[in-house]
Amino acid sequence: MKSRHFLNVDPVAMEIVLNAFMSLCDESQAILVRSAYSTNIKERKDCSAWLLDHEGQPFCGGRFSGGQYNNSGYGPVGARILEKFGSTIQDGDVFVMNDPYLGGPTHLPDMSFLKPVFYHGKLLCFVCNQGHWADVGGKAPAQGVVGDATEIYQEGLRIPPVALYQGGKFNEDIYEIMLSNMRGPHERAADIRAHLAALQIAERRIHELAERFGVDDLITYMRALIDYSETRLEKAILNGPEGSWCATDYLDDDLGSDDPIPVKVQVCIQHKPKPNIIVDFTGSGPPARWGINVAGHGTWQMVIGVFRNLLVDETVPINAGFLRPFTVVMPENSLINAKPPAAVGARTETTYLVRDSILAAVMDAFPAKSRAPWHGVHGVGFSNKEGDRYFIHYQTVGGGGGARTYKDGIDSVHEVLNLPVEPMELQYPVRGLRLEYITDSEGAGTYRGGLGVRQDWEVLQDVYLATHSNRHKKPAPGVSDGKPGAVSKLILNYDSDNPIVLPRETSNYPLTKGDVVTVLAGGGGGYGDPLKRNPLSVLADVRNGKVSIWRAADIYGVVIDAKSWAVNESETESLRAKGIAGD
Amino acid sequence: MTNFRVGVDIGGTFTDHLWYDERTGEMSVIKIPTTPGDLSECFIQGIQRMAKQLEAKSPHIPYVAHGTTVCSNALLERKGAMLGFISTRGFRDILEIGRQVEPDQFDFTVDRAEPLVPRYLRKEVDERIAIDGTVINPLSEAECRNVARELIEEGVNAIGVCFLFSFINNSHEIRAKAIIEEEFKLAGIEGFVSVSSGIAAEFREFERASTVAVAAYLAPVLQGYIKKLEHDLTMMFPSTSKLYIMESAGGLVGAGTAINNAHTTTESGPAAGVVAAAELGRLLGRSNLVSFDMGGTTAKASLMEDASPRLAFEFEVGTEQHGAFTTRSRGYPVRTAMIDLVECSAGGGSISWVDSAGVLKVGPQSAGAIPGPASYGRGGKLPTVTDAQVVLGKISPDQALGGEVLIDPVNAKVAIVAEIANKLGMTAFQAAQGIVEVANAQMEGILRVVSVQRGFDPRDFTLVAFGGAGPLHANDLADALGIQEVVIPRFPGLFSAQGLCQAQVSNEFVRTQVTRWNAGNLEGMLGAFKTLEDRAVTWLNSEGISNDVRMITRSMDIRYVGQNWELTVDLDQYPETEVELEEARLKFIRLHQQMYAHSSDTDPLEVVSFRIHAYAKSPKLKVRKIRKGSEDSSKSCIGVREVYFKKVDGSLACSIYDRVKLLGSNVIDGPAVIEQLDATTVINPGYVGRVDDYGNIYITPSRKS
Repeated sequence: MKSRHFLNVDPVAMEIVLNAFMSLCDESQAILVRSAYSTNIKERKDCSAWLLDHEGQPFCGGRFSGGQYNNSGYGPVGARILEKFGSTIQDGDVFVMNDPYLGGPTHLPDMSFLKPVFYHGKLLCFVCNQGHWADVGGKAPAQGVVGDATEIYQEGLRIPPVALYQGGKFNEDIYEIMLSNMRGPHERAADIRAHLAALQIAERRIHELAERFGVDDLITYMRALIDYSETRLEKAILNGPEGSWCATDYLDDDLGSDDPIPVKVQVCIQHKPKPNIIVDFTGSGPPARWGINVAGHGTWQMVIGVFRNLLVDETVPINAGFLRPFTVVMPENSLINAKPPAAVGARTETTYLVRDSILAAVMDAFPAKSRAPWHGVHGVGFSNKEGDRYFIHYQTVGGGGGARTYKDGIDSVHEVLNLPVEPMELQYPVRGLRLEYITDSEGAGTYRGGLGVRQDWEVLQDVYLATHSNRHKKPAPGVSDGKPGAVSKLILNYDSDNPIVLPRETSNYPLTKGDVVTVLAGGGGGYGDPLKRNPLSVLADVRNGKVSIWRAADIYGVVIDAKSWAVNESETESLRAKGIAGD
Repeated sequence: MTNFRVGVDIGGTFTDHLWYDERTGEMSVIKIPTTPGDLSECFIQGIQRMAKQLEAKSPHIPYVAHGTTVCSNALLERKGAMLGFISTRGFRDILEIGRQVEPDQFDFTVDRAEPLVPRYLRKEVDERIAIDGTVINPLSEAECRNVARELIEEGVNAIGVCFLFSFINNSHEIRAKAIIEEEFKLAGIEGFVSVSSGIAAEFREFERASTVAVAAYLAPVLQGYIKKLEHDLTMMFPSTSKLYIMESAGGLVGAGTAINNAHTTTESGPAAGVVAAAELGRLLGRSNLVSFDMGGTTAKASLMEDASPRLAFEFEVGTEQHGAFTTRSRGYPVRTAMIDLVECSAGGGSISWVDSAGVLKVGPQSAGAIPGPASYGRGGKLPTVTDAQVVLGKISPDQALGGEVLIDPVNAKVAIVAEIANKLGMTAFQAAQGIVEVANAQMEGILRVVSVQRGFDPRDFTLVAFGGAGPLHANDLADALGIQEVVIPRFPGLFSAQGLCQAQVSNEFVRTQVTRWNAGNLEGMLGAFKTLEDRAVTWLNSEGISNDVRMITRSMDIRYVGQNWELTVDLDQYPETEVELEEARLKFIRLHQQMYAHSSDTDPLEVVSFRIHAYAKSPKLKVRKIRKGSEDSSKSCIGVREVYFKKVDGSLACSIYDRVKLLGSNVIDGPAVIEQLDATTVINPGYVGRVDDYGNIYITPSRKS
């Protein structure tokens, strides 16, 4: 019988140690944010810190990580390092890696650093962090995050776990290979310094804990945390519904094909023989030519992230124990379980559909916790060579969040922070012209999806554009009679006489000084019949210019008098009685 | 005639008045129930009563320093101005979108804070300043006038303005302010206008816009309140020269400055307590301090090294839980300096209840001043933490709390039995102990946030416990966290009011002007400082601070070119020569190494913001010593009472002491309860209390155990 370590430890000390582990990860992440040079890390906090035990299993992470990705995919990385370096692992080692096909990072820019921590000669654990670098090489600036590559080889330097430090000795060869394959080597060198410093602080904190609790107890707590997460999760499953639900969502198209690519999911939750969750993606599409594929552990990470939110709260650490109640069935060599050399840069387009299709499937099973699908992902990057240096800009645009079963979705939202206009203009030859809601872009419903957003930039010199964006043809679907949100678009010189629709996946797209790039990020899916929406909520939306007065009548069946800002109740009643069909 | 410094601290439950005799160092104090309907009432009442009490001394009041909850209440209850907002064309929605990030990664159901200005009251105008301060589009004055009119017609009484890059060139905002003020005047409305460059001239448009929105939202409320106070004060004491308001950063500013910067007063009262704790730490030679302030409604914790409060420069206001944490958008970000403190809804008046799953909860609802805890007999029927302490015997049934309120233990027990014990199948005693433990767990949480979560070991710190309820719980909390020394100040219940009398008149001036670090830019750097110093001097003049007590310190926010976050480096002097500039550079590198464990001696630097801190060096409060005695404290023992202690899981016969009778050097072995008008101190079994020459009590583990 498997022993549950946590049953034998002091529950008060356990709470203290759990907080200490989380806090040292938070502190480590804060050092990355405050001192790194990559914009994604310093302004958008797209980075994270976590811990692996001495067997390479994740046992705890920080309280905030850049996006739904989490440390649950790092088990294979830890195992690989232990296998590859085995008994030669020593105090003062630092490993670096970014290969998404070996677990951990889900695309090449998420550079990952792992440091074994020793105490009195004994391997205690690994302190780790990851940050989204502005560039890791590849065929175009910021290629690692965009979607137009057709093989991972085009997306940047692919690094398996290698020792950047060995016993405290710096491995200059690896360092030089890295920097000579990346744009902005000077900035990347500074990023490396920040990653190393963050590891060092985490290591110091682990040493302090070892001193306080003793090495053996500390290791016991690490193991106990893994069991603790499993137990908390199992209890939460038992308190939730049993059943089987399914949903399908679609990526717009692929390079050379207009056919949508399905992400199909069936979720099955059982309380017996022991609490378990099966998430089956059978029927999902084949690998894409474009870089929108996901390595299998990326799909796992999304599944874990979704059920963390549906079942437990932030007091349950994501770790190896969290994985145990799950079975994730993924077709071999498919969109959501890709094999090398499939390109994965813009994998977020697909992983968001993984997340949102699960949420849509279980929406009525978890009415208090789930939400309808949201807008997708829209990334835009401008870059150019200035003298001997590159500037590489990249940011994401938040469209509408999905409706909840009892309230509206969030207007313009994303997992990662935006890049505000002022810090952007201080660094890049790009001018922000607009950031505003798109009226009528919400997925209508009893509770509506969030509004999409329009964001415009003017380039102040000739530059190259990179993009990745989805939900251009397949909008965020509504749930339970809710309507889909508006679709997304990328447009060049939108307000000119000659607007051009931009491809949703591109890099090295030449722009001329004065060009204006517009992202129209779509709306979130609605929930429930729009004709049942509270007329006063429709009135508030019309008053605030979020929904037009025409749409209020056509879709919601609510007639509004714009002079008195009141609902015309009799006309509304008769319009709604007719049961207009919506869009 | 005697000069009195007056401190007035209005809390959720009680209002504390402290008059400090500048000549003798004597402190006179009263505590009266807060009047939540009109907070100026308890302010004026207290002044009147105190003046009467000290009539013989023909009191003269040079200034009144005030810690106020007016702004934090207005935010929590969303009772600020009806606010309009004007932005650069294309950007009115930034106030609502914020940094676009979902408010909670762990919870799909959490929403962002409702914006202080609904979208239909957010307007845009044509104008645009470039990154270098040049004008790309001139301000459309006609449009500005039109949108101001539209907003005024909608009924707004305050307007906030935030234009892009106004921190570099504020001319458009200044002009817009003038136009809007004209329109308010034309409409015959006393409207309030605030522009972002006037209150937070720093980069990042959302945070700046949010700051100006908060400031404008609160200004009319604070203005109405302060005007009434000033009027009433002048009627009573025509010669009272000044009313100062405590800011969240722990400094005092005049009424005008406070109204124009209302966003800086949301943590006014809590800041005063931390100031007092820092002063006490300096007096006692303790530099590592955790201040713990438990009042009627909330408990607050703040950590200090070097006995000086730590400042945070970015935080969210308007949330239930305060603290410097900014990426979550559950409240409203504000860019200003604030003492780094963390708060929870556990106070003496916090109501205990049983949730649907049968779990015992404490707070966030508070019985407040009215009706107050059940044991106050003022109509409160719901059990509070105070009621639990009465049932446990820690608060005396004979005590007249604050000299005002009589404690009725029967009411306390009835409430606990009806609302808790019956529902959970417990005895009244068990229920009371449960309430205290749940409240303690919450407070332990905030103490851990300021210490462990920020990398400090609480065992290395002295806990300074105050507020009406702090000394009741301090020993339990020290026990839980391994804290080795607790200090209970002489007047714990009036400690924040004491901090108000100790605080300095002080203000911070900031200018963002990104400047490359090289000797060629020395002149530009000095120019930036000069502009700030001019503003600081104007402000010092307006506060009537005389030349001989004026102090100015300066600092720069510096980073490596390519980073986005700065470190604030204090300068001993303006960098006038290359040598001085190099000294500042080395200081930055050392600080970077210390904070982030790495640095580069060769990477280029840039200054992002210039800062000047201007303050008045006020004479220190002279703390009077008490009469000295011996270790023998038996003369101040006034009785014995049964008191419950968790450690022995039962009641112990516990000596009760009168704080007023305690002498310097007295030693009190736990278990013991020490009573005084403004608070009750508990010493647990296994601990010992020692009284120092100033009347402070040190609680430490006794050597015997």
